[in-house]
Formats: sequence, structure tokens, C-alpha cells
Amino acid sequence: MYESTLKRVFGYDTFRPGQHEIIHSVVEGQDVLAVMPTGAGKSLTFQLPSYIKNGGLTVIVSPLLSLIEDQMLHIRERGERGVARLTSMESAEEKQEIINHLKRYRFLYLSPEQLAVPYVTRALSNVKIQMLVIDEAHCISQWGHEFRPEYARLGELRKQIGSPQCMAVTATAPESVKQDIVEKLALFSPEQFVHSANRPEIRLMVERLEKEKKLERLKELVRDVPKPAVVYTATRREAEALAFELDDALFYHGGMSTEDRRLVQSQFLRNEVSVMVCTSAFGMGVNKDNVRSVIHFQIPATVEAYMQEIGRAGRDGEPAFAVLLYADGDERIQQFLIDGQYPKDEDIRLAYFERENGTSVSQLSRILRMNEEDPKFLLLKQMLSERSLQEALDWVKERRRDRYRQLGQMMDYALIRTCRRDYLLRYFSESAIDQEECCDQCGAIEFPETTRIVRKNVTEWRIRLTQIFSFE
Amino acid sequence: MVHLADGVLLLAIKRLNGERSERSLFHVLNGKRSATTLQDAFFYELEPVFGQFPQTTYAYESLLKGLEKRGWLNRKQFKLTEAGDMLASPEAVEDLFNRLGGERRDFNATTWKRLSLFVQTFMSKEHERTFYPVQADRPAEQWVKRLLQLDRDWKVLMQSFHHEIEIALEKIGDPYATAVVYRFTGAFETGLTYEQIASLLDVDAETARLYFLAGWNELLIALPEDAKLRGFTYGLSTERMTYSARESYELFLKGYSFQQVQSQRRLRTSTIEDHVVEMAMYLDIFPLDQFVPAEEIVTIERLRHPNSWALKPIFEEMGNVSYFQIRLVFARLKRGETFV
Repeated sequence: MYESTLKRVFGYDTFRPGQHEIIHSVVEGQDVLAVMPTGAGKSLTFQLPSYIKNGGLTVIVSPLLSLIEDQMLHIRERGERGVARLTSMESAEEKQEIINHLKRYRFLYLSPEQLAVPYVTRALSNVKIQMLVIDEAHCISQWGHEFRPEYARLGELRKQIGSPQCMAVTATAPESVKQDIVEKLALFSPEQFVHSANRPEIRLMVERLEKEKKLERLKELVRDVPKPAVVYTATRREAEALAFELDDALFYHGGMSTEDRRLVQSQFLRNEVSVMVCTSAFGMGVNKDNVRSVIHFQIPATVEAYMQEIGRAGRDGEPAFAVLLYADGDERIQQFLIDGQYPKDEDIRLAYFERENGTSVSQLSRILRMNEEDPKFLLLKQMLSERSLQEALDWVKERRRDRYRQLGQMMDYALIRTCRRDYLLRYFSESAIDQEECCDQCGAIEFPETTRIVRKNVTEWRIRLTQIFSFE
Repeated sequence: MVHLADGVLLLAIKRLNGERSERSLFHVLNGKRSATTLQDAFFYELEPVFGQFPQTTYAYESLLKGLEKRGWLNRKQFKLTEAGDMLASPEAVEDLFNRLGGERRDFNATTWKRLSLFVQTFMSKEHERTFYPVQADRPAEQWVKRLLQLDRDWKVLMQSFHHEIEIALEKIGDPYATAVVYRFTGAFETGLTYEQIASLLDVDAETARLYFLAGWNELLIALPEDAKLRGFTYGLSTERMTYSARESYELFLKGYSFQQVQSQRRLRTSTIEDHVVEMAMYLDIFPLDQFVPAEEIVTIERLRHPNSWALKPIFEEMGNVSYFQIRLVFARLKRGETFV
């Protein structure tokens, strides 16, 4: 019954599985919690109802600039002009201009920080909001793998803008996280839609080997697996080093300039380069549906992160491969990264002591030798305003223990000798599924023959220039 | 392995002559528009690298650590070691250094953003290809959008652009030409990252980036006055003087005295002084004697050590002139004037 809108606005003939039901609930005015794997068409489920109801502004809260940018690009691509964003990228004047003309827009994207800015909240409380969408809603939960303190206030902010209908969407959420989302956002008897986390087209493999052999094995794998392929690693430096070792590979990480990042993404999207070596910064918002293989050179920190990262493979529904390389002790990198995300006990004590003696926040960052933008420092600042010293120490300890526990669950995935798919599904409270071509524990997995793509040789600059300016 | 780009940074340190701090260079590399940094860039001939190495404190710290570890830099004095000096000396290093274009401030970078985004947008539309914009820069986006709304024969213009770029790059030659051309993105060809260009040219990525900066700078200089490409520099200036100093300058031109400028603009004395120093640094003609008595000018010139732009020794020796006055005289001396 929404097909005509689907065709008219989005140009598709049919819905993907699950979309129709969600849209129906949204149109009926229900609060909704939707757990859908990446690539299942989440954004359509909150965009389409706007065209059916035309009941005001749809406000979308999203944690990452790159995600916002990407979604806006897609919306504009189909000719919709009524979309705006409020993020740290806009100047004060641009923001004011948007705020002054909220009625012009159908979709407004913003970061949780921006929603909390008093004049933004106030302006939003004065316009008709059809729906508030919380993207990546798992960030609200301390049990989730990407807890973001900025998300904690969303429930209260929702009230302040007049408690509009609310939809929370996320790609992955175990039971505890789902409960947390419903509670924190004060969703009113929400309809819950949970897609299976299973990705039947992805074959799961783990290879255990010695540390010294990993690079050599990676080179073989990259040669043999079907491409395009993504190689995930833990650090920027390693991403650069691996890309250097591999054929036809580029690296991608958050430390690059915007222009270079754009160039790399564009080359990968257009199949001009076949292997991308990256940190977890890559992928968020990259819509490439023919990725055939995802290789992890380092174990990720959580099962959710792993699911999300391998979920970039096989979005077109064709067979794809996920390979995790694991050597004993690999988890130490993740432990190190986890430790680095929380302030040390002695720093917490020092901060509380200094604060009590009237040290200002900016002086504090110097005393602790932390950058004011350092997430660790931001966390510390938040703790200072909300918790006692003992509470802060306990909180950090508990958080760290949680993260270690989650890492342990990821290691179990690498170490088990039973069906890997089974393990993943159980993690998300789903029951086991029998399928052919499942994982390396259920049967041997073979890569199909790949044709080697031969890259064009370097052309002389005059020829390249002519190609760029060619109308042929 | 020593790269040309290492040499360029070493040369920057060398030019500071041990007279300025690590922090001073950091601000020059990041292009901070403060009086002190502008003066550092001017006096120590760091204009070409001004703003051409934007980086975080953290990256800068590890850069210096690296240079020290390799035995090229004495961090205590912020001077090069003998080994470092050798690497900063080749003509190729100096040549690349001087071509980087930092003295043109944002002019080069903004023009590049506009042109590269325009070429990508226009060619993609022409070939009906969806594209992922190579620039994420709002002003450039809006500029290109407005440009495309103009009623022009774009196809013919594109051919002129192509031709003009080719002729300019012929003059400049490789490796610069390759570095510039391969950064362009068309409808079917995505531009290369600096790493990729580096492997074409068999250098490191940072050197490839500098080749691009130098090549693009030279290209803009090589364009004839009536080049169609000059349209992409519309509204941009290569002026080094800051906007605020320019406002003071215009008041001076109207015949205002120092005090009148100051009360009109409601700025501190030291700020107006900084503006006057900018004028002394950047203007072809400057009435030095209005600010410093003639005999003091001569004394300052006589007292200056030929290789040094340090103010303090002169300030202490003379006692009757201010730092402001010494700066003004220095600025004119630096420009090649002489009063003796």
C-alpha cells in the first residue's frame, strides 16, 4: 500500500524484507525499535513515512559526521532538497539560517550534542515534529559496545521537544541493550522489529596461526579471496604498513586529510582499487554492495563490532567470505586500546583533588597532560560534574571489566570448535540455523577461482589529463 | 632513507637560525595569522611553507622526536646538527622549498578546491555518472553550484581549461606535472592519493604532496593574464596583509595619525603597532621616518649582526628605541632597503 510512494520518491518497485511492516507501524504513530543489519534499508523506513504523512519535520540524531554526510548525499541525490544538518561543520550563521527556517525542511540531521544546545532544543519545541529518529541507538546503552555519553540525555531532550513519536534504530543489539534503549528513550509500548542478525551469504572462517606467519598468510589470502576485499586492522600505522605490502591495496583511516579520504573511498566504490586496508573508521556509511571478502588481521574488540564489519560483505546477496586471522596474544592490542580509552585511577584521583582546590578545567588538562579534545579528558570532565570520586573510580573499573568481558566473548568466537554461525546467533539471542556453506567448523570452505584484474599501467600525464577532460 | 620532504623541514629549522622556538615553527607550518608568526615567516624566509604543513601538536612533537632521533636536530637550541645541515643544503631541497606557495596564503588551496570540484562535477554530469565529491568544503561547493548556474558554453570553456593546464604544465615539467594531473578526478578516473602518486614518482608520500603543492603553485603563476582558468580565482587574493591590518592601513592612507587610527578602531596600541609592522613588511613604499628618527634607523642598521634578526641585542645596546621601532627598521632592511 506504500508502493506508489516507494516508486515515486525512491524509484524502487518493491520493499526489502521487513521494511513494509516497520513503515506501517511508523505511519500508525507507534514508537518503534528496529534492529536491522547494516544494508537492510534502515533509512528508508523512517524517510518514507514522511512522504505519506507529511506531518512535519523528521529529526534524525546520528553520532557520526560521516554517517550524516553520507545519508544527506543520498537524499539529495534523489532530488530531495528539504534536508539540512546541524553539526560541528556548520558555521554559526549557517546554523542560525537553518534554525530560522525549520519549516523548509522535511529532514533534519543532527548530532546529539547539537540537539542539546538550548536554542536548538527551544527552536525544535516550537515546530511540528513528525518523528524523532535515533540512529545507532545502541550508543545509548552502557552495555553496548559503543557507549556514548552524549546519548545519555536523549530521553530528556525528547521530552523537551514535546515528546514526539520516536523510532530507535540500530544494526545490532543483544537483549540487555534493547531493554536499555526502550527505557532510556522512554519509548511507549514500542513495536519491536528484530531482523535476524544472520547473514546467510557470508561464510565464516577463522585461521589460527603464529604471529610471525600472519603477514605472509594475509598476502596469500588477499591474492586468493574474491575481491573487492576489505582488510580490517587495529591501528592506523598497521593499516598503512599492510597496504604497502599488499598488491592493489590502499589504506584508509581517520588520520587522513578529507580530500585523500574521499579519493580512497571513491576509488574503492568505483572498483579502481580492489583492496582496502582500514581501521574501524572505514565502512560507516560506505554503501558498496559488492564487497566479496572481509579479512580481519586483528581481532576486533567485540562481537558486535565484528558483525558490523563483516556485514559490509555480500550486501548484494551473493556469496561472500569473512576470515579472521588469530594468533595467541593478539587480544593484547585490544586490551591496550581499551585501557587507553579510560583515564587511569591516579589521573582520576588527581583530577578530583585539583578540582576541589579550585583548579579550572583548562588548567586541569595541562596538569594531566591531556588534550582538551581527548575523549578521555571529556569523560573525566563529565565524571567530575556527575559523580563522587569513589563512584568515578568504580564506574571506570566496571566499564573496563565490561569491555574485557566483551573482548573475551570475541576471543571465544575465534577459539571455539563448534559452529561459528551458531555462536554468533546465540550471542544475539537467536536460535541456530542450519545452512549449507556455513563456516570452517561445519565443512571446508573453498574460495571460487578469481580472475586477476590487471591494472592499467601508469599513463603519461598528458594522456591522463586528456582522459579527464574527455567528452567522448 | 632520507626524503626530499625531510630536507624541506630541516631547511625550515635551519632558516630559523636558532633564534626562534619549536613552537614558533609549529605556528608557521600551521599558518597561524598572529603578528609574531607572520613576522617569523617574513624575517626567517619561511613564507613558502606558511600554512603548508597543517598538523596537530602531537604529530609535530613526534616529527621533532624523529628528527632528533636520526641525529639531525639539536632540540635544546632548536638548531640542526652537522648531519642535518648537510641534508638541508642541496639545491633540490631549497628549490622545492621556495616553490611551495605559502606566501600566497589560501589562494592556491581555495582555487584548487574550486577547480577540482568543478571538473569532477561537470564531467560526471556530462557523462551521466553519479559521483562522490572529492572536496568536502562548503564554500567550494556553493561556489561551484553558482558557477554552473551561469549560462556559458561550458564545453568550449572546458577545452580551454584543458589546454591552459597542459601548456602551463609543459613549462613546469615533471615530477610536478604528474603530481598535479593525477590529483584531478574526472567522470571515470578518480584522483590518486599522495601515497599512490608517491609510488608513480618513486618518492615518499610527503614528498609527493609537496610536488603537488609546488606544481599547482607554479601552474597558477604560469597562467597568462587572460587565461580562462583565472575565473577560478575570482574574489581571492594573494595579499599577505591580514584583513585587520588592511583596515588600519586604509585609515592611515586617509591621513589619520596613529592615535586617530587607534581611537577610531578601538584597538590596543600593541595591536595597531602590529598592523604597522605588517605594512612595513609587505608594502613597497613605507614612511619609516615617521616612526623612527633617521639617526636611529642608521644605528640600528649598523648594529645588526648580518645573519641575525634577533631584536633583543639591539634593544639592550641602544636603550632609547622600542622593539616596535626595531621591527620596523628590520622589516625594511629585510626588504633590501639600506639607510647607511
